[in-house]
Amino acid sequence: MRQVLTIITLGLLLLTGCGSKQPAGREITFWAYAPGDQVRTQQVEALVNKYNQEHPGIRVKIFFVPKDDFNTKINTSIAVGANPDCSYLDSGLVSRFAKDNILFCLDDFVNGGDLDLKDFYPGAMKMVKYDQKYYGIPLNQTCIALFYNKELIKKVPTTWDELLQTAKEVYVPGKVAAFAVPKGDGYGGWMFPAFVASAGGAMLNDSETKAIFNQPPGLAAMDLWAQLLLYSPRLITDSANAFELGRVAMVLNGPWAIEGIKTNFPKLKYGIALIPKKVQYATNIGGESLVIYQNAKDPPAVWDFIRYLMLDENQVVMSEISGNFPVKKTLIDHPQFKDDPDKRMFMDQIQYAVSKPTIESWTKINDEIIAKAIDEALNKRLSVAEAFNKAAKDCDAILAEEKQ
Amino acid sequence: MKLSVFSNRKVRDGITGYLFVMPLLVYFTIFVLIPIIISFYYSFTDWNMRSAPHWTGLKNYAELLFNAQKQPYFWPSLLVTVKYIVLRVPAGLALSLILALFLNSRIKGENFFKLCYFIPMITSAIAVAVLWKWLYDPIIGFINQFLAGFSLPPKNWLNDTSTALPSIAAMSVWQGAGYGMIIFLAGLKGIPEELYEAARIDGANAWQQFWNITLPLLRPVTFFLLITTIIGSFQVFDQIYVLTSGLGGPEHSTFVYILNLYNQAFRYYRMGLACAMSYILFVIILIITWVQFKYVPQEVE
Repeated sequence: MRQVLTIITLGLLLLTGCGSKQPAGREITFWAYAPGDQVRTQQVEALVNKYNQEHPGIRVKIFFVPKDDFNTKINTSIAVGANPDCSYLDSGLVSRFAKDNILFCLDDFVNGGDLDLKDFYPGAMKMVKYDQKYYGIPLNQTCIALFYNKELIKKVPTTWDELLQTAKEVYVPGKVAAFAVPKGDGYGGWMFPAFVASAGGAMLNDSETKAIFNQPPGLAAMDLWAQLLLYSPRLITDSANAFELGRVAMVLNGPWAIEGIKTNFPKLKYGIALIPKKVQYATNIGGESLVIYQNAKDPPAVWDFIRYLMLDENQVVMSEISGNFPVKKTLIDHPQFKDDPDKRMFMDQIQYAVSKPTIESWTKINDEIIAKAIDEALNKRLSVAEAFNKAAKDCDAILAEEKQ
Repeated sequence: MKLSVFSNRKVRDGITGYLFVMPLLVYFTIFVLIPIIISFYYSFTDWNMRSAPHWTGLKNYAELLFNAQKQPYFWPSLLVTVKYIVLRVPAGLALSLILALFLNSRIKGENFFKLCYFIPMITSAIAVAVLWKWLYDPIIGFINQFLAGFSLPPKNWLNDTSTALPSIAAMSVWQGAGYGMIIFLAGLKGIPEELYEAARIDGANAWQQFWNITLPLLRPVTFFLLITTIIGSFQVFDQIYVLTSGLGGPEHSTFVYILNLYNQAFRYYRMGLACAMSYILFVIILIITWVQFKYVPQEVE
């Protein structure tokens, strides 16, 4: 019996012993989204290894976390104080993390002239600010644009009127749907603000204290979707790969869709265009930023690493592996983007990006209030105005409580 | 010196016993018991996982139960879950029983069929859901192609508010049937053959035998399956998450309770509120199970 106990005790000692190994030199832990494939993973690893070789005193240790699990894991790690020094973070979450006082303020570094902010797209920079201070550096950005089938669409619509006209012309009942109209769910709610902005409006007022999506621009945007739906039966648009198989003429999608189309549907003749406008071009914006956590052991060292990743050549790699685009305007002429019409078009579209509200409960308002109103209006349960006025009222109630 | 406690045989056996159950006990304590207790505490706090939780008393519970403006989907998601249970459980038990009776009728290749019906059960819910997504596809899906063969109009199974939930329930019935079948089969094999012989001598036909012998003697098994299937259905999540891309659409017609809970916790970072939701579900399941224990016949007289 005593032997058994001894073995167990020894075993426990071994276990604890493994955990207490101390690394040599300064170590920076860095969590990144796991790239989609082996080649891209190696590209990132190569970048990190190069940095480590150039900086003998510092060792950046990179951990790849799958994108779908990333937010959950980073939250959990913060909850138990085991978070990395530096990580990717969905740009939309930067302000919320900053509000919770867990991010290291980057103002001193940024204002120290280490990075030329004029090079960056303003839309991306706006997202990483909280309380007028910088808490993150945008790493890549993305948006949606209009994908269209070149065989079905001869003249690409540029305005809402042309879009509706094209939709009427291209629609073949039972065969071809005009436009994959987004639905009243979290995803549709995410795309909707692009149309409101195109009509000259916004979802919330500037101080984010009141809903204004029930004003004419918002209603016009909703009306457009409802009218497009007349030429775009769900029975067609809900089918798998409907656009790729030529059953839907136009669809909203992001740059992440390009590779899948090229690999799996090489015969599809598609084009990408700016989302048609009412009074101005607009799109939404997403992407990832780099942040330093407040409990990081050596913030200046981490900042040095971030600066390294922001160098032009490294920026190209880092945005390429995510399927997104660089945040520096100067890279628009880089051959990687200049010579590729698809990417070029997204670089054009992203200039018209409007950032989404930064308030904490925006995701909830998006999913539960705006999405619902879109559903009610699209499915004619309520008139557009009724649905949106009701939603604005619910939204205002939540905003009022959050501002308290 | 020899430790006297270890020489006592009774104590020594006791320790050996505990050592045998220790792995499970440690696992249970760390991964089940402690989280249950801690989450009960968190259900009374406002906590986004990033900053320290602060005590808000019964606020989470009050918001969920009474504030439809802030929690527009609490009651609707519970209702969707109940609808799902009504669609899923009776059909699931019936199909399992039919399969078990079929396999119990001394057919050739019993084990082969057992395996076939059981395979969906051991396949991951995600893989099954992806497969069914193709079956239900409005244009290229097998089901609509099949209907077209009889000149019936196509349906948008997963994207029509009237068919989405039944379609998902049908998939779950199919996936769970094998499990119920094995349990029923074990119950059927346990019924003594003499009872049927006696009934036959008394002139009972097959239907009377089934109704008066098979069904009553299966009561304990049926009861077990009823309880576990209902609890499982209350917690349905992964199939719906995959089939609706986590959105519970169309128009929230498949937005079940756990999907709502998941959103509160991992999309809106309201972990305290999500803990409160899990405790409310716990109480609901507790009450429903208690009612079943009290009113559903379990034994044969």
